[in-house]
Amino acid sequence: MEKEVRWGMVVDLRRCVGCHACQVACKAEHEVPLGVWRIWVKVIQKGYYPEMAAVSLPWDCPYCERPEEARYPRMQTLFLPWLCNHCERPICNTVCPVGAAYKRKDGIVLIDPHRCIGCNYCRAACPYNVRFANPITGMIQKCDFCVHRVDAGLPPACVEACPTNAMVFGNLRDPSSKVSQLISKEKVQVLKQIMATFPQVYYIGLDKDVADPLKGWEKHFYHKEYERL
Amino acid sequence: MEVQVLYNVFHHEAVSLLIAIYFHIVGLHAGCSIVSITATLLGKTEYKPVAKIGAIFVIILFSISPIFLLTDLFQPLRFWYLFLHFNPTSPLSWGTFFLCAYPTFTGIYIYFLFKNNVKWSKIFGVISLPFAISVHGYTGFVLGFAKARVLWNTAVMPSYFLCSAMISGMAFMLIVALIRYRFTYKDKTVEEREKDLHIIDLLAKWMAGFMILNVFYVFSDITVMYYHTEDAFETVELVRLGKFSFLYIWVDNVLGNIIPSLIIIFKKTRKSHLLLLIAAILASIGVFVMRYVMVFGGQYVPLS
Repeated sequence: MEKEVRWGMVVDLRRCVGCHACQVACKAEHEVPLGVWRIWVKVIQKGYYPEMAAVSLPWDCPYCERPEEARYPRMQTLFLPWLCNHCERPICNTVCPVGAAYKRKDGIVLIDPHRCIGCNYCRAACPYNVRFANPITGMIQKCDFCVHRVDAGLPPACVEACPTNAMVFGNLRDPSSKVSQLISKEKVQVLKQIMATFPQVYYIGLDKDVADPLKGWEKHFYHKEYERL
Repeated sequence: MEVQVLYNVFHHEAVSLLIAIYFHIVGLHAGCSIVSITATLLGKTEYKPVAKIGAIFVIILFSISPIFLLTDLFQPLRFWYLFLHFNPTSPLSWGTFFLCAYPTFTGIYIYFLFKNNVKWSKIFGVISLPFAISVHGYTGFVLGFAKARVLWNTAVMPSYFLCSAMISGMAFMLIVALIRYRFTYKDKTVEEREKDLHIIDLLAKWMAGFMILNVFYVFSDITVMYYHTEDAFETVELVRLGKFSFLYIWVDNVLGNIIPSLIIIFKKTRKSHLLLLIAAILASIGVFVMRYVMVFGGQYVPLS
């Protein structure tokens, strides 16, 4: 009897250097149009901005409000590759009115391009904001774990492009696979556990600030309180 | 400690303005037909004009509402897939069948209503009433089942949407009844005028009742969200103090619910038809703003 397969991924954030190679590899593999991404590396900086620090940033950060005050060493930059979590209980499949979104037996969540009517309801319901409408074809798309490569026995494009082996792909049900060993040995976390979707993409060394979508956006919500801080 | 987001990706809004307009129009005609059917079922002859006004607007509004749904699809020519593939866990799938069953039964009801066939109009009124409720009720579930957005994912959402649908439908019918009275009262006898005034009074009172219920829903929604998760807290701050506070608190709730209900509650102001007209227009604007804020405020909070 064939062994049961359940594909999953572990992202070791201690190894991630934020090179965006996964992002570029995915873009090339799937011909993703401009403006939308199947995987992206979220980058945040956090820390204190002391006036007396000696070393300045090596580049002029155009996004920082006060780049001259952003100083090493009392701050850090954090990276988080953000992709479809291929949930155990995907809400996108539950709400799709035509059943175009489906989950394969090996756990990969896919969209049937011949059935999708482009109603955008899955995009509204997905807690991870990974779905997008392809601006050229008008289809709803997302990361599919490079299902064509996986079926051919190859790892996904992002995993193969990762220079530091921070992304590990494999069979979660196989105790000898590297993903199962990492999950059993290391302290892993998933994104937005509260949503009860049971994601199958695990992160090692996940920081709460980079995982929180609302961090860094406070000023967009309540101006008056932000001014006082 | 400061946190700066250096790089992140936000995909564009999932639910567009077309859907907000659709929610408003479907609420309008569902409200109209619920009022019309209720007036028929009560069976008093003086309510008959109300039933007929409502029925006419159901036909007009229903015929334009699916345009917004279809043009919002990215693959509009595939809309018929909705009939082939039924997914019981998706409220959009339910909605497809409600949107088909509702005009069928309501059409038969309207036919018998205009034929003055009391018995059959009542029978088909009873049949189409649940469909009229569900054709708007499902939109509340559409938003309620999107678990990513805390502003939508509340148990109060379907009944809140139904309540505001009743307000918009009644406000619309009140405007039409006031205009009708203004242009026809010279040809009528005193008794007929009394009947018309009674209907206007009744519609206004019911509208005020639903407005008070609506304010209660908003109050319970906002206060419960303060005791919820971080996302909910940020969202409720957004609609209470942030970008949407002017539209939601002031335009929707104060101008759209509280002031019109006060105009109707006091007998002196209720007798003035100009003030009633202003109240009805304010209520209509308020309900549309509520749909807008629900759709866009819910999607304003970043998810990644």
